[in-house]
Amino acid sequence: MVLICVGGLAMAQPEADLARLAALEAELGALETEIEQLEDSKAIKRLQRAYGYYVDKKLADEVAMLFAEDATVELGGLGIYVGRNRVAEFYDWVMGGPLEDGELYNHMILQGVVNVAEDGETANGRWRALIQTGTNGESAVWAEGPYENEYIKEDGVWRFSKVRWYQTLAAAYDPGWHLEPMPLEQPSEAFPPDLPPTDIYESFPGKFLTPFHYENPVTGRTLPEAE
Amino acid sequence: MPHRLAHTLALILIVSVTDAAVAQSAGERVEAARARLAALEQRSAQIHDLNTIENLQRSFGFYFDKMLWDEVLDLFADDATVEIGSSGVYVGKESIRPYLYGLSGGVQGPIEGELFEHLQLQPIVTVADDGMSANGRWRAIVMTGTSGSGSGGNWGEGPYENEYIKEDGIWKISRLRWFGNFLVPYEGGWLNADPEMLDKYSEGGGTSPDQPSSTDYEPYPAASTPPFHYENPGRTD
Repeated sequence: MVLICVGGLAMAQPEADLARLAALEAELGALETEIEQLEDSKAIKRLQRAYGYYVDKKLADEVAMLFAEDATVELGGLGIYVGRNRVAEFYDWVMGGPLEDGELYNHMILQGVVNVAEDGETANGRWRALIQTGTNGESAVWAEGPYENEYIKEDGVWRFSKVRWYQTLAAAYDPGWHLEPMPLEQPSEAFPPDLPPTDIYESFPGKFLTPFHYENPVTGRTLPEAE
Repeated sequence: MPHRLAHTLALILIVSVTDAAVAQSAGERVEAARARLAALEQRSAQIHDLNTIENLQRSFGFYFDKMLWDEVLDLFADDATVEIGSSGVYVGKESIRPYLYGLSGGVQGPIEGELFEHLQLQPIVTVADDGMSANGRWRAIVMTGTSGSGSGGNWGEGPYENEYIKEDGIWKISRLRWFGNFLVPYEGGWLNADPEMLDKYSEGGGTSPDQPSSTDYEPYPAASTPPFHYENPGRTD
């Protein structure tokens, strides 16, 4: 026993040093994970905001480049288009780009709530679009509503795996949403979607509780499923 | 007890052997840890820079709202440039100062009956690798108005492509460039856009720029795309 104790004391210093080194390495690893979460969150916000600036100018090819291979897109009541090629065709069709003289197509991307999964490979984001469109001298339109989008990291690059926009309101600037709200657009017969709309809902003055991807950040409570 | 003693001895032996194997690379492990720490410090600094620049630009908007021109001026580097819509380029603080004061008739601070909101939204900020300069695209929503005036209210919108510089550790605006897209009356909104309204807003009062407009973009109803400072973030190199 005595021998072992002496042996233990002799070992103590290098062992302790190595243990401290291992602990430092573990702390570094934890910090690397934390920093990567912050970088991921920022990269996703950059992606989502870049989307808005490209849509402003009806740049369908730039928009499509932001999507993953198997991604889906579903805007308003138009139904679901599946895969990056169909996504590209969809944006080409729905926007009719590029922007021409006399056209306004502003899509402001605001109020991001981004949550990256613990494994750092996927993420969800809720955003708000504030939309101003029109043809000069002919029309001026407001639209607004939230996105609930999903993202995936492919070879270190964040892209959309799912874009889903819920139209809360659309209306001509004059007389405005309180007097002449526009109904939700239905799936196109000329360019039919690959899948029907996920939910049947009405935009304003109808009511609809858009699902939230996140729990209440204070209470952790999950909202009940929308009706 | 003998069993436990043997077990303990065996453990010590294993630990010692393992330690010996690891001990040879302990120095390397310290060096590797040091490199990881340095990389983390740089990544953390990038995030900090980005947040600081976003605060800078948002502060600009909040001061601009209230026409606090001296506060706005302090956000600029000495040789910064300012170019708003079709204003032309104002070079250096001494030139920017009279331009800003000219926007509000020579006074600073909020004016009763005058609304001058400039929302700063949708940032895409890119910090250079050396952490000394940066670019930022932003969008402004503008809400201006003169109280009691029938057509005195306006909506405005357009992106910025700005540049920033870090001087003595402090981020400043080195180039402010607003590509005003429209300024339209509240009545009717962007149904009938007249670019001359944007020109009048941009001109300020009684100053002339040091240089002509740096780019030949045209506001709505023309279709023009202010250049993007960044590559498509979904692009694969």
